[in-house]
Amino acid sequence: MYKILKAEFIAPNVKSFILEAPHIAKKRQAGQFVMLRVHDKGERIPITIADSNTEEGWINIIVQGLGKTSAHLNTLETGDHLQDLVGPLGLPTHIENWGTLVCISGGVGTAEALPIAAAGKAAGNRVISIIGARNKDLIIAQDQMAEVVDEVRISTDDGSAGRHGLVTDVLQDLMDEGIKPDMIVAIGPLPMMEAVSNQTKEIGIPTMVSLNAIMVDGTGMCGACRATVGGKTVFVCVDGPEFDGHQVDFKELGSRQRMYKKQEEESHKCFLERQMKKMKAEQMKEEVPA
Amino acid sequence: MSLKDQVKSMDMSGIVEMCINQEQQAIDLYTLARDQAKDESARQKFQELVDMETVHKVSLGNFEIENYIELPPANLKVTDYLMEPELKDNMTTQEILILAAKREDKTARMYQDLADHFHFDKELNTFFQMMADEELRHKHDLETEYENEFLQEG
Amino acid sequence: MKRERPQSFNTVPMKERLTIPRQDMPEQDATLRSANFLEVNLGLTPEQAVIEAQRCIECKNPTCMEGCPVNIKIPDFIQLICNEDFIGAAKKIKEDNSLPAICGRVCPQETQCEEICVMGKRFEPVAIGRLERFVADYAMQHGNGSEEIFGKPKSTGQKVAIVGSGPAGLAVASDLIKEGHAVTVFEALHEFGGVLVYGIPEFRLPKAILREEVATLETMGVKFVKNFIVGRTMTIQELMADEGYDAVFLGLGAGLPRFMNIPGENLNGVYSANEFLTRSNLMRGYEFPEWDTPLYRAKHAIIVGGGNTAMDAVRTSKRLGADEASIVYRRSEEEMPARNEEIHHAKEEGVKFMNLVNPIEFIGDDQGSVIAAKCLRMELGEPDESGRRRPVPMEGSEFIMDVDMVVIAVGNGSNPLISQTTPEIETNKWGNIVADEDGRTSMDGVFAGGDIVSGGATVILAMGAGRKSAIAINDYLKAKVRSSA
Repeated sequence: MYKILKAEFIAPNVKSFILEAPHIAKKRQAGQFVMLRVHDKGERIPITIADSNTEEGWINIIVQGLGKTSAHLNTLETGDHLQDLVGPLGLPTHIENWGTLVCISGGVGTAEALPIAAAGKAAGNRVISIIGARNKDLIIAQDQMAEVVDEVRISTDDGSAGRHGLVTDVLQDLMDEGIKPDMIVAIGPLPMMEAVSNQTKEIGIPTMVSLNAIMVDGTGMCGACRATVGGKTVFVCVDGPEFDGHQVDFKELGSRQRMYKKQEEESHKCFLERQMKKMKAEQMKEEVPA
Repeated sequence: MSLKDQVKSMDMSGIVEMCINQEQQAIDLYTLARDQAKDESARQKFQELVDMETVHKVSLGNFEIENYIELPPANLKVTDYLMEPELKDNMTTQEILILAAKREDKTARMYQDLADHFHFDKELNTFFQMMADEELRHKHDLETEYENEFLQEG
Repeated sequence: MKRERPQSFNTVPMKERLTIPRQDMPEQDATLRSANFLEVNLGLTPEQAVIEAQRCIECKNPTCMEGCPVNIKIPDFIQLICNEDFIGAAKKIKEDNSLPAICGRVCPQETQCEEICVMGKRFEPVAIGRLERFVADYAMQHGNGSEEIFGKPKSTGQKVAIVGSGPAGLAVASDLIKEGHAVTVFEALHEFGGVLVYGIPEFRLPKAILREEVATLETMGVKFVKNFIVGRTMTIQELMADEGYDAVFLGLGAGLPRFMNIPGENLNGVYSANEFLTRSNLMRGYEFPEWDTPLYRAKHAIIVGGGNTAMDAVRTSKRLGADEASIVYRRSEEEMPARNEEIHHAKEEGVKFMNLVNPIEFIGDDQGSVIAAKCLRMELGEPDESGRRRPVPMEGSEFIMDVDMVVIAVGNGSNPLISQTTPEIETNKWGNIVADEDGRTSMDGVFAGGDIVSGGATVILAMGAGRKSAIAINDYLKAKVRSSA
């Protein structure tokens, strides 16, 4: 069992966990992920490692409760335990001194982009971070990002913070100002990564994306996570998770991500119903003094 | 000028040289692929293909039409319906075998086409038939290797 | 262990033995079992076991032992069954095979010991596999006593790391713990057993048996560490230099799924056998939503392949409620590598067999899900060097089948993770680790055995390789002590 040293919400439905994992912390590099299970009948899911500390022996993951397992995970508190945790998995991000590195991220992608931005800065790049969110409450890790990069720019769909628009608009603004990115890293929802890749393909800026795929083992033995990159089938868990955005077949990956939508909705619904029953039961216990 | 027209205007030694160049192209292609390959297994596989084509090229210098025995090798067609991979630096051994087998198939068809076209000329017909058979032999070997490794239970 | 000719306990006159019919294995009814995941074979009763054991004619030169990859003393354990000493028979088997409950279920005895059994020449061979399973199950239920045979050996102070908890790793662990070494098994997944837990379904190998075997090894002193990926969580070099392991055994298995390279293979609903079986066996997807991992319940499933893996997948798909679950295999039924018992059981359960058929394309709908398979018919052509007639596509014989799930079960390769992270270990062009007959690799102190060396093979062959390596590892460790003395 794997101990949760700290658990706290950092945005609506987004929780940050510090997990006791000395081996993983020691070996982990930017871009890598873990597979975890919440309980003994649970499914294995991949989560990117946002941060780690070798001396103190912990890793940090940021979880958005979109599906049943992540929602269940987000009900755990400091002191609770995970059933299983394994890593670090995937290939570490390839970092170079490209010159000007622009890290574009959306949602929890920002937490995943953080270590890459930090590594990019450490390698000598000028690093600009573009963070996109639906509204200002859903912006996460902005302060941590500001600590490691040269400049942070925000965009929100509703204009409640930063530029009113999308990350692609901010990137365009940047380039209109005369800034020429030498390398772009885009991490976030699939449509966002696709949009950025399409934008940069035309102007010829190399773009790395971090793909999210359904995984079962995470070690390359099953092929659940296959995607087509450059016309060739790759396994996201061992050949990635980062790939050249201009080569990714986003349409195929999008439909593969939706494969179990029905079952997951059913499972998530059952889970929420159970949570409601639990909450009601606890409420009643409080109302009826022992 | 079409290939058939080119051949018409050549003498035997010219034709043999043309075929030797064909083999050399294959050797060059596989050598380049080997040097670019990121994976050790892939490098080994490409080296084997370089060796195979080199042997063929050398044998072309020594062929004798009189020794031709009509025994066309079986065409297993294992790779005929598979997708053709692109030559890249990150190919798997599986992709390399498919690529090579399809190349042999194409080359065999080219020679067979020439053999059929020059059916009236015994020397040319026999020569091209030998060439076609040899390419098919390569294809057979590659496809047998493919079956044994990638279709063990398939 | 050296073998002495056993005492005969078989009082049935020799002539009469020849007339005893081979005992039938009690099975779950086919219709019933094709809707549940409970074990199909129910096991011989004690009475049946004794009767079956009495069929053995006690050959002067028992060739059956040679047919066994780990040379179990077959006639010896059979005599103990005749004497109704079932625990003794189990102990006898365990002198050479530490996992009889598993091997008795999954070994292809019909092509190993039973194929050579002299009784099989004119009658039916002695049901050696069923007897092995019987005594193993009996011993499990009535107290194991593995530790009793060998007691607690003196500790050598040396440490061995075993990477992979599949059959090869478990066999090595079992042998080396008895030599007094400190043994730790590292497993990448969250349950132990390797292919035994993720590849073979519950209805062929109940996982409770596997857990029991692992628990027995733990009581003998073997440490098991799950969720630990050697090559990522820690490298082999670190295991040896930093953690002090004196030797490492790699039992990584053939865990890389093979795909066919035809159009449409990435459509939703097209699975590798590894994924389909892992979702079902390891993650218990057939109990969704009580277990969280989803598993697609197809109506029309085709499984491409002809081995045991394909049988496991198609029988699983039938149990998940498929109206039609079919095997699609390029060659003829006679050439299918699967065990005859599996094919027979599959047919009884309603599985369809489409032999001499090969898929060439999978067709999807606008949502990216597979809805049909385009196939080609094959005909048998000229025989190859081994005498087998090769299947050749019949031009123009394309036809389309409606399917909503495809499982590709054409074989597996070697997962390249270790070789990528440990260049000192030599691999061949297929990615298999190069090792001598005792499992020595090109890296000092590192041994390997099982599918990672041979390519996809059987559980018992992996165990046999493990046992051989264990001997070599033990010698290596002893030599290490001597040289540092």
